[in-house]
Amino acid sequence: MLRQSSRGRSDRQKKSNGQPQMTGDLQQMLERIVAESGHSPDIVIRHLKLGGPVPAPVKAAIVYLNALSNQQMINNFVIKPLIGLDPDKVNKYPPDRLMKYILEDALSLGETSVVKEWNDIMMAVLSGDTVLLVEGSDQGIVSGTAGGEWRAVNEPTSQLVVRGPKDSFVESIATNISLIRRRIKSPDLWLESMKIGSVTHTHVAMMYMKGSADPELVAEIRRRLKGIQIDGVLESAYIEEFIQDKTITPFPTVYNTERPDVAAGNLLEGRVVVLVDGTPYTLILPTVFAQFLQSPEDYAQRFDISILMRIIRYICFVILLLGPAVYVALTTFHYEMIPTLLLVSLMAQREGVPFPAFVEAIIMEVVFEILREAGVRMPRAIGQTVSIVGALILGQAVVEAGIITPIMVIVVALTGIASFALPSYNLSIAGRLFRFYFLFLAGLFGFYGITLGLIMLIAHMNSIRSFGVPYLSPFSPFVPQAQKDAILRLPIWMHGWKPLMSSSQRDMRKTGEIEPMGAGPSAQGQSVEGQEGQEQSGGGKSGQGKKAEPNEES
Amino acid sequence: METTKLSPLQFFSLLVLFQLGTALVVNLGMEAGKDAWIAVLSGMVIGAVLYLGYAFLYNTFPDKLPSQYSRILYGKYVGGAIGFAYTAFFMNKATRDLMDGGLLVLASTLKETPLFITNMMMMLTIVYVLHKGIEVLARTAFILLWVVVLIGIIILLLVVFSGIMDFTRLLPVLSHGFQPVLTSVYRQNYQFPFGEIICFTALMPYLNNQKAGTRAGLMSVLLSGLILSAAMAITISVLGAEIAERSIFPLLTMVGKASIADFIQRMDILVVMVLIIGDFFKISVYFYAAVISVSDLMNIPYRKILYPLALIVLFSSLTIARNYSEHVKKGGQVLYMMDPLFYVVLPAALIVAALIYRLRSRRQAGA
Amino acid sequence: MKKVKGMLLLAMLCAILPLSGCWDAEELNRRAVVSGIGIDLSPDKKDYLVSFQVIIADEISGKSGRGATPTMVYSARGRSIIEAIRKASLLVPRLMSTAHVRIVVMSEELARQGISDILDFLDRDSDIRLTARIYVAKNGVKAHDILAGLSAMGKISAYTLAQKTEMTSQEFGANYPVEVDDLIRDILVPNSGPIINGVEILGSVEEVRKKSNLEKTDNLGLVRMSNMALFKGDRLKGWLNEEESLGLIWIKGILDKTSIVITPDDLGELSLDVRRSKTSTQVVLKDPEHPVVVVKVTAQLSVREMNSTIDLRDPKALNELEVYVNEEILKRMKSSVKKAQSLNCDIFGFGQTLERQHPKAWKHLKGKWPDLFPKLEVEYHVDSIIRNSQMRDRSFKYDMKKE
Repeated sequence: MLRQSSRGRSDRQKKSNGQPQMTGDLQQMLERIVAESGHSPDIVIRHLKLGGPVPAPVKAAIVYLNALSNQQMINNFVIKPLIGLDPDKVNKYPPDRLMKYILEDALSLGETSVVKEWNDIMMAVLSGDTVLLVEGSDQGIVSGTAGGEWRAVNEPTSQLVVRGPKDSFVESIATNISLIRRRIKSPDLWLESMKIGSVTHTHVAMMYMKGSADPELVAEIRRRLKGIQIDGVLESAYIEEFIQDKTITPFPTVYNTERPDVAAGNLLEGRVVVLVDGTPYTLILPTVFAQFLQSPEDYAQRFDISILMRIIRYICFVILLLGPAVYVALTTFHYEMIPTLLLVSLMAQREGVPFPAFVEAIIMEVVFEILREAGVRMPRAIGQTVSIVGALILGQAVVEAGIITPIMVIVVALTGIASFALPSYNLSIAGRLFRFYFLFLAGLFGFYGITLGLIMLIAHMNSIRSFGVPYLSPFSPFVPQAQKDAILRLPIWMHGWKPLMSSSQRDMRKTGEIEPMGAGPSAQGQSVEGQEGQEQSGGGKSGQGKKAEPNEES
Repeated sequence: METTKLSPLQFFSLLVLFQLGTALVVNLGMEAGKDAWIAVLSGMVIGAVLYLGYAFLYNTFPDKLPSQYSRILYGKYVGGAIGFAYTAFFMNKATRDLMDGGLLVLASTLKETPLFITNMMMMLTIVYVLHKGIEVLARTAFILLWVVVLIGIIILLLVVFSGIMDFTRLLPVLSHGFQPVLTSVYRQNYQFPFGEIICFTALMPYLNNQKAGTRAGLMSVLLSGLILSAAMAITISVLGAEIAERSIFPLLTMVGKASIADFIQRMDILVVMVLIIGDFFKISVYFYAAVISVSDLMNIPYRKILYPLALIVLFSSLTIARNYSEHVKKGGQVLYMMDPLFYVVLPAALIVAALIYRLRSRRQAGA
Repeated sequence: MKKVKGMLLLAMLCAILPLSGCWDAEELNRRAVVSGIGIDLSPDKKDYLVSFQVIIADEISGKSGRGATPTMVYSARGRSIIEAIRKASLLVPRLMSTAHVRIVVMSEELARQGISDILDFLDRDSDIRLTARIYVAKNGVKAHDILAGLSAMGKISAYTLAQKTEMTSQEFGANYPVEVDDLIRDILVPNSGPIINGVEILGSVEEVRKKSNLEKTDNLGLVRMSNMALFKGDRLKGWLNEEESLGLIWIKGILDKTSIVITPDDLGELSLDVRRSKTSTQVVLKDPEHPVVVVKVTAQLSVREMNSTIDLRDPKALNELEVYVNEEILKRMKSSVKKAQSLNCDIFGFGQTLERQHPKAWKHLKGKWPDLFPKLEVEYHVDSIIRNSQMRDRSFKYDMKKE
């Protein structure tokens, strides 16, 4: 784990009422540590006597958090060497020189560093490292001994695939980084680390490929990350909300994933991955709409099947948005479009039902949302079953009672299933929101309303940018090369050139302005055509391809 | 002026949707009877020539709005007057198109809904999109072009497979000679929809590629001319000239006839969708051209003036004509008496002045 | 802050919208879907008596059927069709929705008086589709009765009638589907007029409207397609008989299949099926004042029934048979032309063909066409080919003869 001294982000500095420095007084420092942590029983202080009994042993102590640190390492590689220090040297050296000696010659650990700031000591201890304080020296030595328990790497809980790697990120950022490193063994994979959260000091890391990622993009992301002011970061979603572009939209502008292969694929395409300690969900920026409709499985199958699957996903998205709206529009405004026999059947169904189609649709959709929410909370084993069974039985009962027409149940069920077919949960949430919007429009104005709503939706999507990249690339600013991996997934051998060939920048890049945080949606500078250069086609590995378009079906 | 850039492809799609907008559904060239499709093609040729004229103006001043270069060419006052005249013209056109769209929706689907509400919904959508800027409009045009193409293909397949086309209804060609065709062209065809693209001169400064953009514009005229001509030909071959010329919305009637296996029927709502999309772009571009001209002439940021102008368009759309016939009649009269002023005469004046300007600047540069 | 205020205002406006109600929305169970319209003259001949066949959805599908008839006929009187539709609201509790009207039937009485008045409504209305089929009720039957008839196959009898039309035009060829826009086009052709299918009721007019009729295996009353009616302008002038109808359809080139019986030189009887037939009509101007119409027919047939001892293995025998077939086809076409000429009604569109093929001559002859048509010379070239004879080449009678 890389060490990065904290940049004064923490509040502690402000609170530590003017005593920021370390004194040489060991006792006092130890007492301060104990006091500041509230006599917490899990902070262990192990007193040592360095050097020989003659003339006087140097007093020292190591401080560590027993739960977060690796006891074995501490015992073997910290305490042992310290106890076995050459007494002559110990006695001869003044405290600072002693520190240097210990640092360079004694501790047989990989990660060691010197700290001079008080806050860094607490930070280090709370991160699971061991701090060595020596009487008389105003420095401390921090040894990296982080340990502690965390979840083992196993299958991802979302974004499941039939064929493909089955490891997923875990809560430990070190493990996550290693999972990515394992896949991209290139020196161009760069890592930047920082701590966010004034109270939680959560470790956040940013990874990108040096040659592929746009340096301006990286700089912008870095800037935004560093500008975050928040007490605690518990999930990557907190960060997501801070760094995403300030456009008011239900559409997700930051992609997240639990899968290392997806993250690696995105890295290869020049995107930036943000990892947050404590959550397996990593953020991927920038992102476009098409990404949410791609699944890593597209690369595990033959290309013709993948094309079909992708098209089906787009159709599902359209069904999700327009399903109930079209039903309401057809039955209440445009009955002439329904084939006569179907019409007769629908009419017969409507006979005993008390509610108008529009109200019916709203009731059923809301009920379905409730069922879905309920299904999510339940334990995995029965959650799915209960929501499906619940839906079926509820649907059946409601039809029997003559409250809702069967066709409405079918429409709602179809819409629900379509929403599950979308690979990304974020997008299906956005879709679920919009279907109510279309439902209202359809209820008021029939197909006219749906058409206008569609125009507004597309315009809205067009105005969203994710870090300067237009949301509907590669459709909207049409980039022909990128079509290779948008809706169509052409065979890998046709993708040709991989983006990682050289670390030189690509020429397609014109200066694109990345939208500063807080700017309105259309106060754009130059249209970021160049920005798409980086979202070029490329057979990303079992990960994300390009952006694609919602080609509405009429 | 905004600082966004449009790509030639977006420009192209905006142009095509604009031209197809209202022209697709109404009677084009029916003065020529069953030779309407010839009239449309002839109109297209003239329209292309007009376009080249507008493009010339653009190429002379590649980064200036028409309200700006008319002031350069003719001085602050005359040029400003020209600018205002065009603004009023565009506003009027936008209003008329709003009315057209509203009336179509009224006639075909929303018969009971008050026209005000129908129009208001359209204006709301337009204002929403224009508030986001011309680039968003253009990008949306590109995507919706595909939607329209898709619907067009579906309709075409539907009509073909219903077996209702009878090309003998188009024969004999030019049975009455070229005269009716010429009359039709003179009165309508070169202006509607082709001459109307003059409002795009307000958009051309946004192009990010001058040559390709100009070419895209020309292509769009050709493409939409072909599509419109084909649409008229098919309509006549299905309905026959007698019915088509009495129909207010012949495409609608024609699609209503198409049915396959008693199952797919009355797909005319698809046509209405296409029309609403096309009308939306038409009104948007006209409106935008007007707004940007005003904003340039009076130095007000364009977003602020968007709303009041939108209200003006909305309310005047309801007062411009008492009923449909008056609307059409006024449209017809205005079309062939007043519009040539804006499509031909004023641009010609600008072009001549631009020629002189070019010569002068070349001479200056040379000297 | 300004932005928030603006958004709030917008949100309030949007909230008001639904409060005002949706004006055009109409629930399906508030609609009475009309499947057929019938128009008769009222007894005092001043108004129209319009009948509507309404679909009762409950009886067709759905669980709450009461065992009543699947359709119901309502009548209303008015000076125009639209007035009658609105007056029907006195009888029908739901909104009359005419978008699914499949047939329009009119009485013969009305047809003789002139149909252009009712046609305008059918043409102009945005709800009624142009693909609705038109019929004339024959033999004193009222349009109302046709609509009231029930059918065993298919619950909605208007649809059944439309399907009967399809079937017979496909199988027998003495009718073809006539739609509203065909009518309008044909009325506008000078010296011509539309051809409309006739409908009648076979059997008892009373029984056909009862459900009890359907509960027996044999029908006491049935709605039947009949011959076609010839109109000049917008008035009914006469009825074509079966032969004439076939001839008309042959000349028009829309024949699908039919059956021909020949008796070659008392060698028995043969029944042949016409499988495919192509017709081309040309106008030849041997003399600029007297155009000649040349009708070429190519037909492919197959032998379906043979009560003769002819040996079909012999190609020469087939050729001889073909001569007889040509005769038959000729007979039909001639009789239809004769009928049309006698009524001076260019139902075949010869005038339009002339216009298409010789536009200059047409300009000249246009005015004289009403005089020219009755004396028009028509040449026929019929070429029929007997392709096959199903599964046997000779009849078993052949062997009987041998003995």
